[in-house]
This record gives sequence, C-alpha cells and structure tokens, in this order.
Amino acid sequence: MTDTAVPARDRATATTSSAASPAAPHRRSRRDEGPFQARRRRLFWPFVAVPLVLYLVFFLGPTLASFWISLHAWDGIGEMKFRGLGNYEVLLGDEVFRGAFANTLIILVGVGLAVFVASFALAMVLRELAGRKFARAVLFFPNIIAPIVLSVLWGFIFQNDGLLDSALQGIGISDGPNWLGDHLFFVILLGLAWVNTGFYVTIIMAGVDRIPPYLYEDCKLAGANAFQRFWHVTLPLTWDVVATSAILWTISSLKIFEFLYAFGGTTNDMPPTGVWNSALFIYGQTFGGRTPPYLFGYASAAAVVTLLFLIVLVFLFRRVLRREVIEF
Amino acid sequence: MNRMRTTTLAALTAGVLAFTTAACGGSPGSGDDTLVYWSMWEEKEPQAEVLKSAIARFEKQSGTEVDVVWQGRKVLQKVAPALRSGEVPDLVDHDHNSLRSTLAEPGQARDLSAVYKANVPGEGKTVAAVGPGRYRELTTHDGKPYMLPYEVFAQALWYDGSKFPKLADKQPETWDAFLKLLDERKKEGRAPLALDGDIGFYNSLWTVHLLERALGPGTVNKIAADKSGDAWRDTKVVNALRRVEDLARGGYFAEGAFGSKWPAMQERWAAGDSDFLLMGSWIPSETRNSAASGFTYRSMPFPTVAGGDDSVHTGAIGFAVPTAAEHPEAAEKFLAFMMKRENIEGFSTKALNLVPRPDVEAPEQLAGLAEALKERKITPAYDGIDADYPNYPTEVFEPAGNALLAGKITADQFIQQVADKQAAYWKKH
Repeated sequence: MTDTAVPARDRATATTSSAASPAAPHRRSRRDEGPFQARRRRLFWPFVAVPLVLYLVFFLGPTLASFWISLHAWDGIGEMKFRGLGNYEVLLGDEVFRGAFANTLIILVGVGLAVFVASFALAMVLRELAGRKFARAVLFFPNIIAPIVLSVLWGFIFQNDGLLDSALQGIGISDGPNWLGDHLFFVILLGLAWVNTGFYVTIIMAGVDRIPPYLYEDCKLAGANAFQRFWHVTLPLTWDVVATSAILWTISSLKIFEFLYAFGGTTNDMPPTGVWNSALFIYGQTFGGRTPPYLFGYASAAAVVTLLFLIVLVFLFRRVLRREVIEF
Repeated sequence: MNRMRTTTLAALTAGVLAFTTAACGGSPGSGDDTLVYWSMWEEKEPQAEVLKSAIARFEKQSGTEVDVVWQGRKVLQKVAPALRSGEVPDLVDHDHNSLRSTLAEPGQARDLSAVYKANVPGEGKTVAAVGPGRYRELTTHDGKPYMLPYEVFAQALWYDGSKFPKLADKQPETWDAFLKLLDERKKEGRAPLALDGDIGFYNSLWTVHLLERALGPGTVNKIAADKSGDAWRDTKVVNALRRVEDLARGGYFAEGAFGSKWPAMQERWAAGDSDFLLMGSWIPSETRNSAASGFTYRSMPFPTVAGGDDSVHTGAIGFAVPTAAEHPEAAEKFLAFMMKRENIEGFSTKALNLVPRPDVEAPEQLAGLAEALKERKITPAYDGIDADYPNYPTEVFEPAGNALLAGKITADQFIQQVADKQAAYWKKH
C-alpha cells in the first residue's frame, strides 16, 4: 500500500534504499503520510476482508475439505468412515480413472497443440487480411455460445445421416465412417479444438499486433519464408503471451466438462466411460448417471490427484516457458 | 465521520453478500400446516398438470397447503445434500430405482406400511388393495415399503398395428419365432429393429431380457453381485449370450442404430423407417409428435426362450417420504388421498401412462401391455442392478454390452471384459 502511494519517479529508489536502510528519507512513516494515504489505508481492511473471507470460505475451505473427505468413505449423508489412503490406492488401480486421466492428458496435449498451431496459423493469416476484425469476431463466436448448444449442433453434424454424411454423399462417398459409434472421442477432440481456437486466436493476435510491421518487411527483404518469419520474429516477440495462454489452457482444459457431458451423454445418462476425462469421472462418482453412486470420498481423492497434477504441471510450465522478455 | 462511513459501507457490502448467498439456501420447511413436495416433473409436463389438480382437491378438503417445487428429474440429487442438513421436503417422487438407492438404502425413507394399510378416502378399500400392493417387488426394501407408486412402466416390443394387422392375434411367443419374423422382414428389404444405441441402458434391454429369459428372473442381479466376476464364465451364461451375439451379427438393427444421437432412431421408427422397438411404456407419449399418420401403437411381450420365464420387466414411479420430513403424517394422508380413482385416472387419460390401479382403463396405446401386467409375473426393470449397484451399468455392464450388441465383440470377449471390470468394480465399492 505505501509503495503505490510513493510518486512513480521515486519508487525505484524508494524500494531499493528502504531495503538498504530503514531510515531512508523517501520512506514515509505513518505519522507523516498525507490525509489521502491515511484514508486509503483505513479502507484497506474493510474492503479486503469481505472478499478474503469469501475466498477462504468458498475456495480454500472446500479444497481443504476435499482433501479431508478423500481420506474417508462417505455417501454424503451418513457418517464418514476413515480409510486413510485406501481411496488413493484403489483409484490408481481403477481402469476407469486411468482411462479418464489419460483422456485428460490427450485433451491437454493433443487439443492444446491443435489449438495453438491453428491459432498461430490464423493469426499469421489474419495479420495481412483486409476484414480481419470481422474474421476474428467469427472465430471467437463459438466461445460465447453455451457449450450445450454447440454439442447439439455437433450431434447434428456427425450423426448417422447427419450433415457431414450428407456432404460426403454429395461428393460420392456413401460409406463414410461411423463417427459417433466408432470415433466418438476423436470427434469430441475435434469439437474442443474448434470451440477453443477462437479464444486463443484473439489473445495471440493481440500479441502479434504489437510487433512492428517493419520487422516483417525486413524479413521479406532478407528472403525469409513464412516459417522463418514465424520462428525468428513472431514466436520470440509473443513469447510472454504464449506462455500465459499455455497456462490458461492447461488450467481450463482440466476443467472441461459441459461439452463432453452434453455431447457424449444423453438426458439421463453419462457419456460412455471411454470418453470420460477426470472432471466427468468426479461427477460420475458422485451425482452422475441414472442412479448416482454418491462416492464422495473416492471422488474427492480423484479431485485431489487432479489438483496436485495441475499444480505440478503449472509449476513446470512456468519453469520451462520462462524467458527473458524482449523489449521492442 | 469518515471512519464511520467506511465501516458502514463495508458492513453494508458484507450484509448484501451474506443475504444473497443465504437466499440461495431457501429453507423448505415453512408453516405448520404446509406440506413441502419436491417433484421430479417440470411444471409444464402432463404429469405435473395431473398432480396440480389433485393437489388442489386435497388442499380444499384437508385444509393443508401443499407447497410444490417442480425440480425436474434431478430432484434426488438435490434431496441428497438436503438430507445432510436436515432441511428436507416432506414428500419427493421418482422411479423406484432412484428412490431406492438415494433414500431406501441409506435408511432415509420412511416405512410406508401404514399408508398401504390405510383406507383410500371414500372408497372403503385399503391402499394396497386398490392396486399398489401388486408391485411389492419394486416398492419394498428389507421387507418394508419405501414408496407408493402412482405410475407404472413396463418394457415390450412396440410396433405399428396398422402395418401389422395380424400380429396382434398371432404374436411370436418364442425367440425362434421372433427371429423368423425378423428374417421375413429383412427379406422384404426392411430394417426390422430400431435402437438408439448411444444409450447403454437401451442396449442392455436386449441383453438383460435374453439372459433372464434363459436363466430366470434375478439372474443378472445375482451375477453382478459376484465379487470375483467369475459368475459370468458359467457355460449357461455363455450360451444365453450367444443369442445376443447372433442377434447383433444378424444385421437386424437399422442403419444408424450405433451412430446416432438419441432420439433420432426412435423418431425414425415412429416415422415408419423400421418395424420393432424394444422400449418402455413411455414411448407412445414420447414419440407421438413424430409418428406417421395412422400409426397405431401396439406392443408384444418379449418372447420366451425354451419355455422359460415370461415376466414383464417393470418399473414404478411414485412418492417417498424422507425419515427427516417435518410433516410425515400430513404426507401420509396426502398419499392415501392420491390413490383415489379420480386422482390416479389423470395419469392414464392425460399423461398416457400405465397406473397401478387395474380398475383404471389404460390408454388405448398401452392396453395390450396393461393386460400382460395383470396376467404375468413382474420383474424389476434392468433386474434392479442400476439401483443395487450404482454405476455398475455405466462402468461395467454397458461398455462391453454396447460393443456386443453392435457386433464389435463376441460373447466370449464380452464375458472376459465384464468379468475383469466387475472384479475391479467391487474393489472400490
């Protein structure tokens, strides 16, 4: 708080010198702060307290509770029975969970790569396009529609005799693949890539737009091809944007639920276990299905494993993606 | 002054937030003479209309107010956490499986023996005697009734009576005769069987029926309970499953049966694209908007195998009272009142469903099935495995069952897969 109150031009010296000697002249004590600072300081706790309490109660509390519940067998109604790490032991041997976890990774890596490759390709193409704002809006469109609606549309496209089959028949392919019966997970991956690309195109385009055009002109004069332009100019100069997007994607991909649930399942039923990700697994062990199993302890263990995995992943990503920021 | 304003502002903010979050909770317990009912229906559904008029009559006669919340099908998922907090409704409804697994098995359903023994107001007969007593197998847990049914559904093979005028008198009784009929239809260039194969439960109807017809009611449930999964490897089971394999290999299912989104295939069936659909008695009302003109809903019971079991796979929809309910006596009074003929009738005439009272005439579309229900034994739909072993169908039975019916695996491969998955399932339950 006090730091931000220091005028900008003094800030650098203030922080360094105050670290060196507490009696540095720039550091203001409470007594000689102005009335504005005093008021702001008084407002600090009353305003921070409310969100802080909400955060603790609604985020941190449940997270800790999940960990505690994961050590028990609990149907959500009766008494909890302590199982120690029993849930984790069974979980790691559970084929359904392992499959769901593998699917989560496939979505994270496979769809992630597809989304980023497509986003960069589109960003590069759109950079030189005349109606780019319109094109960007169109690409962003799937992001603002409810995933449920998209999944219905997706069903119409891929079902037997659906839009895609009709299109294939139009070009003479009458014996197309059974999309939903034999390639359901692939179709889901395709759908997820399609839904998410628009969002990352928008972010990456914002980064690409900051690159001064003369760098590209210089590339052209030097005879660089499209890939070289991307590799030596676009990627290094948008690195901080890419790194942030990668973390965003990691976190959001682990939480993907609605599209999978609505597209793979029906009114009463969960999707087949073969296309579950860990979020669906957790739902499937608690409230999902025609007669829900209410295995809260077991599901919490799955949630804790997913959370730990996410924390490790984000940490690793941040280490791997850390680069010197290039000033331009 | 300043400080005071700040504190007031902060307090107000906190107050508003606290109020809005508290408002989400919404306590179901209201006044003393109010009965709180959480319904599985949405307000616009025909069943809700029938219930509404019955409730209006009840309120007028008893002076008890009924506070209905039309929660929809996920009502029990809302009741479950409420059981923990103690703020439960006095009355809920759902199908027997769901009520059983959410309320009866954890010991949260009130024993309704007294209701079954009570007189239906103005009729001089007990609740059990007017019909619900017949559905004991579906409505009791540990020998005590946990629910009172007001609708019944049953499974059968459905077809268009206008296209098969002779079938009503000469239904194929046995599996072989049925296959012969299918072969004839195939020869005429028809796709005889409709199926929305993306719903594992619908696929299982075939497998469960064929297993139970050959090995007797309760077989699938008994096999599923085997912790090792080895019960599947019995030769008799393998032989019964060969019929499913043959059915799948026979090419009887319409194109798209295993590559569509429900309800595409049942809609196409109603439009006349295929002949038979193995389904519950809700199908006439579910497909009435897409049925071809002149479509006459008719049904025949699932054929028997080698003269064995011919029972009707049945389910019930009805009320249950949570043990923690605040007004259980009022709820019981309401239940007895609901069984009156004038209240039950609407579920048949307006909602086009079967009801547990045999003296209420079934809708014309369901008349054949209503007869079968009067004459034959009743077996719980899906052999009750979906209620007794939650997630067993999703995680164990259906992945392999879907593949078997789609002709992707053999009966032996099915057994291998199911037995392994079952052993794993029992490790975590």
